[in-house]
Amino acid sequence: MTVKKRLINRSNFLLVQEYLTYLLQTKNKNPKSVDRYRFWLYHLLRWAMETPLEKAHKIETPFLAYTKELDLAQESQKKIIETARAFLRWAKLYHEKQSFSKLGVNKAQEFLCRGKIASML
Amino acid sequence: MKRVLLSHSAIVKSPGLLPMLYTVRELSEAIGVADRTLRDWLVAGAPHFYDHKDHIWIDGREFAEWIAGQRKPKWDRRLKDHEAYCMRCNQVVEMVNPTVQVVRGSLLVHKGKCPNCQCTINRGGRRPNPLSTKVINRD
Repeated sequence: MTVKKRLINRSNFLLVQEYLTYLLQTKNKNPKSVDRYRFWLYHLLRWAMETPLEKAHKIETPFLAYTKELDLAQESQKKIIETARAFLRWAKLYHEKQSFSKLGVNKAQEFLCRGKIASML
Repeated sequence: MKRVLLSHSAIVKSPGLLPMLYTVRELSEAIGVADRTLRDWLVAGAPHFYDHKDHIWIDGREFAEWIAGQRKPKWDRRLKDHEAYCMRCNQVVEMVNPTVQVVRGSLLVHKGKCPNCQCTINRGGRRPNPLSTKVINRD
């Protein structure tokens, strides 16, 4: 029996790449900062794996629980969640035609950490 | 198996590759090597596959493992007193006519000739401290 390998959803990856290009070119962020954002957003991709981000609310493990499992410093966890939140807000604004519009920012934040984020940020 | 010459950025950045399928362009940007170099590595045996449209796809994890396998094994053996590393031959050799010079304090320089290329090779060292009780196994 062969075990099927889990791969990250390519559309999620392309969306993150697009966001990073936006930060670099439109928001004029420092390339080193963008590299840092890339590192943080890759955690979001690893969490979602093959699930498209539009359907991320169906993922069993909350993102907060995932970040806690990483054994990172509290500050790093906070940065990962903040960056993921900013990315989802951008996805909602700039990808109206995609199903991100159906997923409101509030709901996105809700699935991100299921109500426990307020104490961290 | 013939090893390919890897760039430092490829070695450093490849463990951070995601478990997903990359195109050649995406992967070359991710690890910071030229497109052409990456294509050469694919010819040399890097894991990849073609889809029904003949597009090349590379699994990030498999590629990172391949890079790790291509690296030179770490040298963990200590050199013997009459051995030194020849920069021209790129290997450890036994020095011909080794001489020892004291630089300052306990610092020594072992000087000799390479048996292969006859160039002069130098190797730094320290005079053993007689007060030290630590025994170093040099084999």
